[in-house]
Amino acid sequence: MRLAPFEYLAPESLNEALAAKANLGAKAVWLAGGTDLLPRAKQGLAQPQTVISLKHLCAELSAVSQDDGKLQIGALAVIADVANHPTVQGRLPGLSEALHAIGALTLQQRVGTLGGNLCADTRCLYYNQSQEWRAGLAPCFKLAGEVCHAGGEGVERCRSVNQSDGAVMLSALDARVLLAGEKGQRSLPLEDFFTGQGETPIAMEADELLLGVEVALPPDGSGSAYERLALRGAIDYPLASAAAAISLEDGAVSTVRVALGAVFAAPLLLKDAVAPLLGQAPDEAALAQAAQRAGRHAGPFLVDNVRADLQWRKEMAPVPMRRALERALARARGTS
Amino acid sequence: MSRPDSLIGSRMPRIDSGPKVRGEAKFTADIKLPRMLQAAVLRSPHAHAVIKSIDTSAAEKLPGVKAVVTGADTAGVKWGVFRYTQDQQLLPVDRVRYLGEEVAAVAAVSEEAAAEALSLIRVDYKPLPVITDVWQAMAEDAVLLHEDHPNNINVHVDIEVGEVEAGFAASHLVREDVFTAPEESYFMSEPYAVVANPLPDGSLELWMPNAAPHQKAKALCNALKMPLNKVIVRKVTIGGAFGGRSDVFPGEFITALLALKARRPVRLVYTREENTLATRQGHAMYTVVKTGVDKDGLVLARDITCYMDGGAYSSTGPIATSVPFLCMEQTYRLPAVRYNGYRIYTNKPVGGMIRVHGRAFAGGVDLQLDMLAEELGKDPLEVRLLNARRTGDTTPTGSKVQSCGLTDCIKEAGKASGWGDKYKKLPPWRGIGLGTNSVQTGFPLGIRGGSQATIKFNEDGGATVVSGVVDNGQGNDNMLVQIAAEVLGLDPGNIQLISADTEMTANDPGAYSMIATFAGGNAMLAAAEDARRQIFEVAAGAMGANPADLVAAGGKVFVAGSPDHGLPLAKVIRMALIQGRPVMGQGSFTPKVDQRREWLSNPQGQLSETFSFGASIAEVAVDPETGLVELLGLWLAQDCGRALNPMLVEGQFEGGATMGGVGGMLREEHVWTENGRCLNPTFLEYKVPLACDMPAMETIIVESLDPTGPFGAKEAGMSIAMSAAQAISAAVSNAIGKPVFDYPLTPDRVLKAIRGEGGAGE
Amino acid sequence: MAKLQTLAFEVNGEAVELAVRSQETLLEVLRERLELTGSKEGCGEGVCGACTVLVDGAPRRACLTLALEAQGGQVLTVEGLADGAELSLEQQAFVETGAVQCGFCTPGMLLASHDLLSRQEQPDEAAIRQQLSGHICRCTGYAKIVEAVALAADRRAKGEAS
Repeated sequence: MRLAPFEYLAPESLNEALAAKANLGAKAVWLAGGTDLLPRAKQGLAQPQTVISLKHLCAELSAVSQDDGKLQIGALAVIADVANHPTVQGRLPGLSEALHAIGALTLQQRVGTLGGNLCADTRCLYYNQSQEWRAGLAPCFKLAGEVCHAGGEGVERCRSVNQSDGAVMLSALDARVLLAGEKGQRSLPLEDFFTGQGETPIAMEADELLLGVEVALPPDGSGSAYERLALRGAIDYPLASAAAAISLEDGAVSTVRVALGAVFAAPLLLKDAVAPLLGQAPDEAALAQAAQRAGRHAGPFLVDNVRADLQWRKEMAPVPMRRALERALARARGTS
Repeated sequence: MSRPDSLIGSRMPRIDSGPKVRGEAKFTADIKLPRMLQAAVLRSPHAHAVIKSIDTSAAEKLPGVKAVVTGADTAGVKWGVFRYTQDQQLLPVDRVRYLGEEVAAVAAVSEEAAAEALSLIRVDYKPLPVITDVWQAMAEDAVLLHEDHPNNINVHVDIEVGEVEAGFAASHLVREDVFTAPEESYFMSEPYAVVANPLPDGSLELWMPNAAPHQKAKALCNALKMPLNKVIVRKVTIGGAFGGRSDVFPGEFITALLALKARRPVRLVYTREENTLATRQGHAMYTVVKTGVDKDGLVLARDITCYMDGGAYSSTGPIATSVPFLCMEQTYRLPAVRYNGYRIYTNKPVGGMIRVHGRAFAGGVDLQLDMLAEELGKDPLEVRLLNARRTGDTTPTGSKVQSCGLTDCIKEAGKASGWGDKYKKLPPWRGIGLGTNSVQTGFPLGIRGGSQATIKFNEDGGATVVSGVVDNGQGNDNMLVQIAAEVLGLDPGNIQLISADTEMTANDPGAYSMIATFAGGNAMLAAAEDARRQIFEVAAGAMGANPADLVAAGGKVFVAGSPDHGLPLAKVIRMALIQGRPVMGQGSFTPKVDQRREWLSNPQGQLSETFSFGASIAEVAVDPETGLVELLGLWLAQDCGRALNPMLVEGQFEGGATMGGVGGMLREEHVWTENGRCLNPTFLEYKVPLACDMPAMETIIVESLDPTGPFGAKEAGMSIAMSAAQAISAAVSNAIGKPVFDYPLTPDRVLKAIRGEGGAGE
Repeated sequence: MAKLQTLAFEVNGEAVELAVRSQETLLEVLRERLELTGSKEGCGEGVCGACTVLVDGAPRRACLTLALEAQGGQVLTVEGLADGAELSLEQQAFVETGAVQCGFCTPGMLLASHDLLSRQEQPDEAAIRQQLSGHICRCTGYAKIVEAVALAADRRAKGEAS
């Protein structure tokens, strides 16, 4: 499998990089570890005229630092380094779990970056295929066409799914992303970073670069957890995944955020499903009910576009959700 | 380095492992020749269509393009394993029958130029109705893929032995169940590749991963209309086969055509997707199993009907349709049995034989026996023992079984796994299960059934051994050298191997149907013994000894018991040269099979000279909420006759259990659109197991010492691939307390089984 | 057409300088330009791991790495593991334990093993399995590969202790 020709730039500084991107716009793409971009480029799903390598910005954008109760993680931080960072392991155990689930250990070192995982494109069995494979099919919504092969008639937009482990967990942790562009920097909650549109899942302007992620460190009495179902122990995207983050005050739930992965073009945040837990000291049944509500929300989004039986996926959505809630709560209570 | 007392049974490191760990072993895609061109193949985007026209004129004009071929260059030449199954045009002239079928090909100075040239070829197709399953295919109004095959039935194997209906009538219990599975794939590590090099003398040399160089050469010489000695298949390192390299593919024919047309070497390297779609895949199966047993669980009659989705062409069809039945009739004693196997044409890639050929067949047979045992209140392990094949038996279709360690395998696996403490005694959602199977060591292959070997010596006492046996990765090269070294008393490092090259080696059946050790090993054994006899004659003259008293060991020849008073082998070789009787060992071996046996017209008689047998036990935990299965342990026992090299035998067991059992029974399957498009042709979405997915495996080697195998050896590992799959399906059923009818046991299927759904062709 | 750029880096300890196109992958440069065909292309999409090499000490899928990303870097391929006639610790262990069957995945497995042993003194079986789980082997069932890595680690520990 050969790559089509493109120009290659490796700017030495952030300013140089941003200037180049501002100049080239959407015809240029950023290259970090390449594990998401290169396969798509080989399949003709990405057709960059210029690839801008971020390798010289690693020193600048790889730091994991703590400031004012917030953890800042550079976009080029290596996944394994973040997952093994003492603060992440101690205060954000769900994030450590989610990052350890990505790809395989040898992909988490050096090549796999947090920013790359967050910016990973949404996926679909009918989309992530070779050019030759797709040649016999009409272009789908994600390829600027007018059909969804997975969903069939009645589906009016792209139903590709976000299968990024990091994105789901960071959404539940209410993280923010820091973007830099021509006009300076801006910060966005992850909720707004992901558009929910399979065609264009990331709300970044053509001139922008993801600088990093900021997560508020939860107070004592908090817990987070990440759960996923997959057919293999590694090199596998989740078939269903869920993240939960809970804080307790005097034994009662003060905040709870949950998200489902592999359902929708963005991590599916489910506020209503867990709202009844607020102010409660939930038992197993209450968590199971919340998970069921979450699952019911997920169902309508699903089409048969992931390597698992559709009915099974519909049924499974609550399972990782309940398990993540249970473990997050146990961590918040200090019982795990 | 001194040689241990006997190499046979030693854990001798493989002779090919040094070059492989150094990255120096050359696989086909690693070959680079001067002026070599790159080939690329244009494939059909339709699963079924008429080719109205192909216009290659723009491609031919593209700078850098040196040759373009289409069906028009081939006179529609066809390939088939048998004369009566020649149904595949190696480059189709007028019709394509699966998505991915070859339509045209180019050779150009670079991969980029070849790809661009493909984009300039215009093909006008008229799409035809697409058939993607056996029921559509057999429907009355179905379009026929091949006009001479009504109802799209490619092959019908029809076997009946004994009084089947009377057996059912006499049975205490009779069950009939349906078991299903979709296609699986080989996913050998190396994607398919071919290099073809036309030589000035008019011959053509080729390299490609293959399971039988002589078979490839014969098929190609027929297709290219060249003499057999002008089509030379060379030896190359091969990255796995598992049954998926046995057939002849359009790829090598196309590469040869391009090379001959361009008069330059040409290399074609498949992508992973092409390897999946355009070589071979396993058959989807729908199997109806009916078994009657007496009060003790002894099988009185069995009737099996199996529908196999064969894809677009015959390939090894008659064999593929028969083998699951044959493995079964070898494994179990059956007083009466009926088999109807149908291989059906559909618009899908071509079905071939695979290591776990028939998970919905063997898995069903074993599981049904467990269900019958359960109903009778018997321990399934005891029921298997009751029905197990034994030495001296004759199979229903007439094969004498000359060595069989099946009962030992079952007992040993039972003991090692703690079966007695576990069956029906495990906590909820835990289960244990047993699988038993048997495979052949070759088939009646007519003039290609025998293997020949020669051995020559150099004046320094080193030997060069020559054999047609091919190594797909399982260690056949080492097997040949180990046998020769043992007999000649030479250090393996002092033996040079020439093999798998059709110009330099004599005929050999190839690594088909587990025949390599039995036929190729026996031929090498005979050649080595012949050479040793000559060496002893010369040495005996010089030593004033009786040849019968001599021993060859440690590079010397001496009278048994007096290793210090011998002649160095190099000296004996030089004496032989001076005396004008140079040592040249020759040997051949042709398995004693009934050559009148034919897959369809006469499925009776000795199928294989000997058979291997195995039993695996699996212990699992099922998550009742998700249906995900966790493997807790695998115990793998096989009667391989004799373990020539236990380290290699263990590797075969472990690899077989991983591919057939863990992959084949738990994860691996292809999924399709209704238009015949495979949705998971690559490694990412086809779930081959990883190191983290594997449980602890215990290997148990049972040695029945076959009377005619080389040093008693038969075959290693193939039956484990099947029995491990059967064991896992039995274990999952045991864990959930319900039978599992549909494979592989992905979580959705397990959940359905827990609810009592599935089966009966659901 | 993208213009050629000069790539200067070190491969197995040797300085290499050559003109490459931007879209050439490290695997293409190693295999076709430098004729180091030990690194294999099993899938081209970063899944099978057969093309794994170490770039500046870290494992990378060479099929998913632009050659220019290795500019100024140090690349270690399977051909660079042995010291002349002497096999590396991992190579020797793979040979002795029967961890090699068809050999196609072996180069990637060896480099993953080398990486693990360079980071961990005495990895346990779980750590070895986790490290190898980025690589697909269709022949061995992984058991003997895991055994080989453990043997290599063990030998190194003993060698260092004595």
